[in-house]
Formats: sequence, C-alpha cells, structure tokens
Amino acid sequence: MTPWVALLLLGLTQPSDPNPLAIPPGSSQAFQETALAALRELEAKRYDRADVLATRLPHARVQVRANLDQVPPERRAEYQRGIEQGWGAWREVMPSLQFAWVQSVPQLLIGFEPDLGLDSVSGQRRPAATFLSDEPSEARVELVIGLLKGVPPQVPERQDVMNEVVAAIGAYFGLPGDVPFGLGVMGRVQGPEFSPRRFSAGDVRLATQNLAFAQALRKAIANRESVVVRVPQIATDPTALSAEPVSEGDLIRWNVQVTNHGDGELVYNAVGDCGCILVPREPRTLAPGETGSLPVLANTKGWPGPFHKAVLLFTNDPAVPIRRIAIESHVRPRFRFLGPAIDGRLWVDKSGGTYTTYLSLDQAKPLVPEAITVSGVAADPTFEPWEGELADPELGEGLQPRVGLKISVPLPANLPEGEVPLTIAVRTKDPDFPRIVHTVFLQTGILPSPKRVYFGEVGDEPQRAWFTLRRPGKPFRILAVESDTDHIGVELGPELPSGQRRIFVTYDGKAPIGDLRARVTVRTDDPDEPTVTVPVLAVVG
Amino acid sequence: MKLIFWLAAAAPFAALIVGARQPEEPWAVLVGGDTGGYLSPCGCTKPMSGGVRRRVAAVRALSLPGRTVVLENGGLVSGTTRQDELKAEALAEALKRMNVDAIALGPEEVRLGEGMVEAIDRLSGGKLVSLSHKQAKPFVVAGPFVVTSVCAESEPPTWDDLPTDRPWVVLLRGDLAAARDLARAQPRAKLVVYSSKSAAATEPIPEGDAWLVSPGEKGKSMLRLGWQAGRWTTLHAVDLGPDFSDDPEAARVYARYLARVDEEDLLEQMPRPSTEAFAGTAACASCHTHADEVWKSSEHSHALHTLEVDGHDRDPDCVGCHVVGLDSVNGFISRASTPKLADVGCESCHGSGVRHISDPYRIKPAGNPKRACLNCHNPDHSPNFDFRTYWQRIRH
Repeated sequence: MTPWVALLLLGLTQPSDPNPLAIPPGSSQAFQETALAALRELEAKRYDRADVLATRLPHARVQVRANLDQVPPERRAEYQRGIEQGWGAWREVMPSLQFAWVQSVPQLLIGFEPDLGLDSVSGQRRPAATFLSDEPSEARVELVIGLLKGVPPQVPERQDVMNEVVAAIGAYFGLPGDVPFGLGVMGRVQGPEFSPRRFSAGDVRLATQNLAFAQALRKAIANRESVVVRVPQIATDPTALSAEPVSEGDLIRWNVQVTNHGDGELVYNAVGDCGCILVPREPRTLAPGETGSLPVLANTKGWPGPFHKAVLLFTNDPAVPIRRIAIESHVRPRFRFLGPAIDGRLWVDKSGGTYTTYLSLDQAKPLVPEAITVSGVAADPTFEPWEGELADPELGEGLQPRVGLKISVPLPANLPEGEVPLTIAVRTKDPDFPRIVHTVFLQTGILPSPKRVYFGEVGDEPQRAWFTLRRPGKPFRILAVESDTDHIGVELGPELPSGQRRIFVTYDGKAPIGDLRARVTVRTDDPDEPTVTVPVLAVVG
Repeated sequence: MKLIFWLAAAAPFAALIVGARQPEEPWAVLVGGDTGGYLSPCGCTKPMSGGVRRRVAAVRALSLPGRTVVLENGGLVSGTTRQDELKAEALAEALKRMNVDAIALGPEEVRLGEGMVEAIDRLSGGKLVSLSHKQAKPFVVAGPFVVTSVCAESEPPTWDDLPTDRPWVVLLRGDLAAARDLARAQPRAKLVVYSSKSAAATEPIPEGDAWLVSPGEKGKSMLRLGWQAGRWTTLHAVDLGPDFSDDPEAARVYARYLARVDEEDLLEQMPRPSTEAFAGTAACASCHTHADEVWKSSEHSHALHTLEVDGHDRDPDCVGCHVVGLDSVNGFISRASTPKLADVGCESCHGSGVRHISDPYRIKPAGNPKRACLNCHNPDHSPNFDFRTYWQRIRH
C-alpha cells in the first residue's frame, strides 16, 4: 500500500450540495476508516453506534492526560512543559482549538517508557509510538514516548517531547502519518539532531476540514439524517499526454477527460511535477457517471530538448489513490550557438585570428536579429546568413541541417595571457528573447587544470595532489618546478601519452593549524611565458 | 476493540517499520545525483528544497549503522567555469563527509579537465567509478553490491571484469530509455540509477529483476531504497526540505566554498556585454515619488541585504537577481563602488533610464517590466510566482 493511500476519500450522495459529509481528501487512513464506519452506521440508521464512532473523531476541545510516572523526577516539569508547547504550537495555527488536562479517559493520552528499542529494519531507536483506538473506554490517541532516543542513546529534550506531541495531535486531527516528501508537521525525519516540526498550509487546511467534517457528522447523527455511502472510481482519457515537437517558449495545452465510473462523488487534486506544468490548484469534484475536463498547460521556455514531465492526480478512488499522467514532447530550442569552442573554451594564437560561431535558429519560429555586439575584446563582428550541417553535442543531436547566421569576430593580437571572456550579444525583435548572449573563453597562454590546487581539510597525514598544464596547438617543455613553502613539495611527473605532464604537489602533514597557502612555480622553455604560477590551499585542522 | 498501530518515527522509514522481520539483514541504499551545481537551495519562495548541507544531514539520519551504501550519480555541476570547479570540489568534500561509496564519473566532470577529475576523486576519498572513463576505477564493492557507472553517450563498455558474486548497481549517465536498455542487456544489474530533469522517482520502474530509479535534478531530493533477502523492498523519495537541519561539517565545507568564490573575485570576472548605462534608483525617485515609496517598503529595496545576511553577496549565482545590471559592463559591481545599483531597482524591470531622464516626456524606458519579472521569478526559483498576486505587493 502506498503512503498516499491515505488520500482515500469516499464520496457520499446527499440531498444537499455541497456535501458537508464528504470525507476530506488527504486525511489519514485511520480517520477515514472511523469516519466511514460511522457513516455506514448512520446509513443503516444505527444511530447509537454511529454516535460512538463519530465521538472518536476530532473535537475542537481536546482533553489530554499525561502519565509521567516513568520520567525521572528532575525531568517531569520540563517534559510537561514540552507537552504544553506541543499543543501551544497547534493553537498558534488553529486558535479555535482548546486543550485541557483531565483525569478521566482523555482524547490524547501521553505516556513514557524507558526504551522503545531499535527498529529491526531502520536500525534507528524508536522515538515514540502512537496508537489510535475506536474503543470508547480508551483514549482516541495514545502517545508513548521513549526515554531514550538515537543511536547511541541520548536523553530526549523538551523539544523532542514537543515534537512528538505535535505529531500525535496531528494524528488526532486525521493527518496522514507517512507523507511522501518529508514536509509538513507529520514529515519530520528522526535523526541524531533535533529538527522542529513545521506546519505546512496543507496541514492546517486538512485539520480544519477534518474537524468540520467531524462536527457535521455528529450533527447529522443527532438529527437522524439519511445518508447513502458510495465509492468513486476514476478513469482518465488519455492516460498519457504527448505533443508534436514545439518551439521553445510555446505553450502546450491538453485537456484530460476525467470520468467517475463509481457511484460516489469523486474528488481529486492535480499537481504538476515541475513548475513548468500548470494545472488548476483547487480540488475538483465529479458526480457519479460525470466526465470533467482537466486543463493541463506546459510552458516550455527554458526546457529545450526532450520534455518528460508528469501530472499527478491525488484521488479519493480507493483503487487509484494516485494517477500519474506522463507528458512527452520535444522542445526545439529557439536558438543555439554552435561552433568550434569545446566546453565553452577556445584556444587561440597570440597573433590573433577569427572566432566564428554559428547561430542556429528554429525555422518554425525564427528570431529576427537586429544588432550584434561584442564585449570582452575590442572587435567589430560581422554576420551573414548561413545554411549547413552541424552537430549539437550538448543536446545530444548529431549532424543535421541547420539555418541561421554565421557570426565572425576578428580577434586582436596579443590578447592577455590566460582566459579572456568573449561575449556576443544578439538583439532580436522577439519579446521573449530580446537579447540572446553567447560567451566563449579565449585561452591564449598556458593554463593549469585545476587552476588552483585545493587539498581541502587535512590532518597530520601526508597528502598528494596533482595538476596539469595545457596549451593545445603550441607545445612547450617544463624545465623545473618549485614551491615557495616548506610544507608543500612539488615534483614533475613523467610525460603522458597525451603529451601532458602531471605536476605532483605534496603536503607533508606538519603545518600548524589554519590555512596553509603556497605557490607552485613552473618554469617553461617558452620565452613568452617562462613561468606559470599555481596557488595551493590546504585547510589544516 | 480496534487498535491501529501507527509509529511516529521517521517518515521515510514508515513503510519499512511496519514490515515483518525478514531473515537476512536489511541494507539501506541512499542515492543522490544530478546536483548540477545547486549546492544550496536557491529562491525567494520558502521553503526551497535541496543543498549539500541538508543532504549530509539526511544521509546521517537515514543510514542504517554499518549497513548503508551511499551513491552519487554524478552530474555534480553543469558548466565548466571556475565557479563550477569550486562547486565540484566542495561537493566532493561534502560527499566524503557523507561516506559516499561510489560517485559516477560522467561527461559533466570529464569536461572540467583531467586535473579536476583528479581533484574530485581525491577530495571525495577516491570514490569515482566508471566503466566508460579510464580516469576512474571500474567498480567498487559496497556492502552486498558491486557498484559501477557508465555513460550512455560513450562507447559500450566491457562488463567482463565485474565480479559476478553479488548483484550489480549501475549508476547511469543517461535517461530512462537508456536505463531500460541497460537493464535488459545486463540482467545482473538489480538497480539502474538514471538521470532525469524531473522530480525524484516516488515509485520504482521495474525492468526484469531490476529497479530503475532517478533521484531527480538539482539535488532537491535523494532516494532511500531498502534491500533485503536479495530483493528491493522499499523506495522513498526524500525531499531535502527545511525539516533537515544543516549538517555542521557540511556547513563548514559550504562556508569555505563561498569564501573561495569571494577570494577569487568571481563576481568581478563575470562576462559582461556592453549595454546602456544605468541611472540608479535614486535618480528616478526625484519625480516618481509614489513609486519610490512603494519600492522602499518592498522586498526589492533590500534584495542585496538578504544575500549579505547569509553570505551569498559575492556569489555570481545569486547576485544577478538582487541588483541592477550585473550582466552589463555598466551595471552593479559592488555595494561600495556602485551603491546606486545595489538591490532590485527601477531599472531592473524598466531598463536603463538614462535617456528617459534626459528627455522624460518624449523618451520612455525601453524595458518590458512585466516580462522582466520572469527573468528571476522563474519556476525554479519562484515556483509560486503569479503576476497578479505579486504585482499587488509592488503596485505603483
């Protein structure tokens, strides 16, 4: 059974509309079972039994009893304070709630046990256990808190008690205990560190709805109302959504036909698995036999390439608590800059040259360039219409015909050593893409990889790292390597088949605590670039 | 009496806890990947998910003592800039702190260069694996599994050297279709972790005996799988939301990453095309007094301060959406040198006002303010953005 089976919502046919006796979507399985049992008793006109069950459902005034006998005396006041903070947290988000200490059978009973033991599967110590009962002689919710937590065991703090009480009250108000995404007041993960439970808007909404339902049910029983219990059944057409390739920025619209084949009212919430998928946020209802249309909108701006998304329907159909509707399409990018740069870098000779890139434009919706400017280097670009075949490795596309502009940028001689960013900006008339930008890093000198040697945190063990120097197309020889710091050694490695040489950098494990900074100097046979310096950083702890 | 047992323990464990005790020891497999450089949750809608600090905390919280395998499906970063290098190094350090067993070496890491691959491997404790790239070891034995990685884009690898005495876990740098092909071709693979630009898989996709799963993108989630008696028992997608406290060690790694970004002046080195100059918000206020009052009471007016508070004010990933014109040679440089361009100002949305100021009745600012919202309030960073709702907060 998936966690979201707790979304079960059984519809009812009622003379009035909207139906106050529809079990709210998202409520816990325990809440639904009790609510459904009460409704079935009401349907059968067994009002006393219905009343007993409905009394177990939430009330705005919650009676609480705590047994602190097992708690060491010096901690009792602290833990009692934690309990009151737990209900205080609920009162902050639902001010209409009241909590009161009682000595009789309460709705929430809190006890403590020395150790709830390790769970055999998770290996974690059980921090607490919650029991829900439909038996009138017992508390509706019994919370048992362990007096040890974690591995290795620690003594729970006041906040831990507060956390468990907050969750137990959540269980009382019908919040599901195993939410899938870890958010909300029931989703806190028990770890070695304290992490406060946080309410989500959905927690408060559902607790409020469940309380209203319980009150309406008790009123219906008191008034001897007639109800008929029915169960919904969802079907969707289509079961998956697809679209022909579209241009980036296009909106794709679908309508999913949702049909209720059951005999109870169907309620469902639709959620996209991405911010780019828009669906109506409010819950939708369908009468038995009714078909409704769910609009789905995909905004493809920023999603070039394969487009795989989904819409999830959280339903009250007990057989299909979650219906996943896959979305498939392909988004043609409105533009791509393709050319000789590898991973955004281009090695250029000091004598200059020309940088050429191809602006491939989506022909189904071509952008219209108005002006092209260049920054980073002093140059006037030229451009002309272009047609040809190019691959786009980044999008996984092989050679294929493309149409657009060929942009050429004359590069001046004697660019500074290192990397120089060359940025081409194209102004267009399209309001969605008013300026499209392409940056390539021009490398002229010898570059280390990585640019700095970083050891991270080190202790008293020696460490070794290495870097390489590269300047494709213009080989050079390394004559010597040296370090300016005693604790950092440097050594030239053998030549690799690629022609590169590794420069090994060692840390001796003896530096004082703090940041150790050094500079490794590499001497080359290139008179234009006789030395290359590489900074080194180690954090000695 | 009807008694329902409901354990208030860790949510992701819930399905495990209620299961019956099985004869063999269970193992937990924790899977992350496709972080794409998102070392920290980013955005103006709270709560955002993800980040290495929470992820290390989550691994510590979700581990079974002595019976946990931690896997990283690669894609540490998405680019090749110096900031990507720093991110990759910081992520490798964080992965070491979560006792990672294997990291897939994929094209994203290879593009950073041979030296950077060495740095990632060293800083993670020597955990890179790949059958497709020779810079990494071909596999590791982790718990009951043999773990390896392959790249769908590379030549088909040789599988002959992998031990056959235990099930294989394959970290795939490829999509679901490639994962299906791989699972069909390699029946020893009991788990294939694939790459996805969608949310984390909440349910496994079975292919023969194998499960195909994805941790989703941008490090927002991680997966926790249960393995027992030679089969997978559970899968939970764990959202790395604010319920996970920051891990102190990972927080230290992250703080050092930010310090290095600052120290290397990466903000100053951003490529900046030439555009019109900016007048600054104060220049607009002399005439547009009402708009200025609205602006001063809006969050836009202290957008940079929010970054300064949490140490991201020198981070090129963040600053662009908190100042005027970071992508322009005439735009924001620092609060000290360009104070009038700090924060989200008039020209962030309306475009340069210099020409408008010179002839206010005939020349209007060229920007399209409504569209400008979406430059920063995009689905990733501002998923709840709705123009009509948000506009009411700054109507002027």
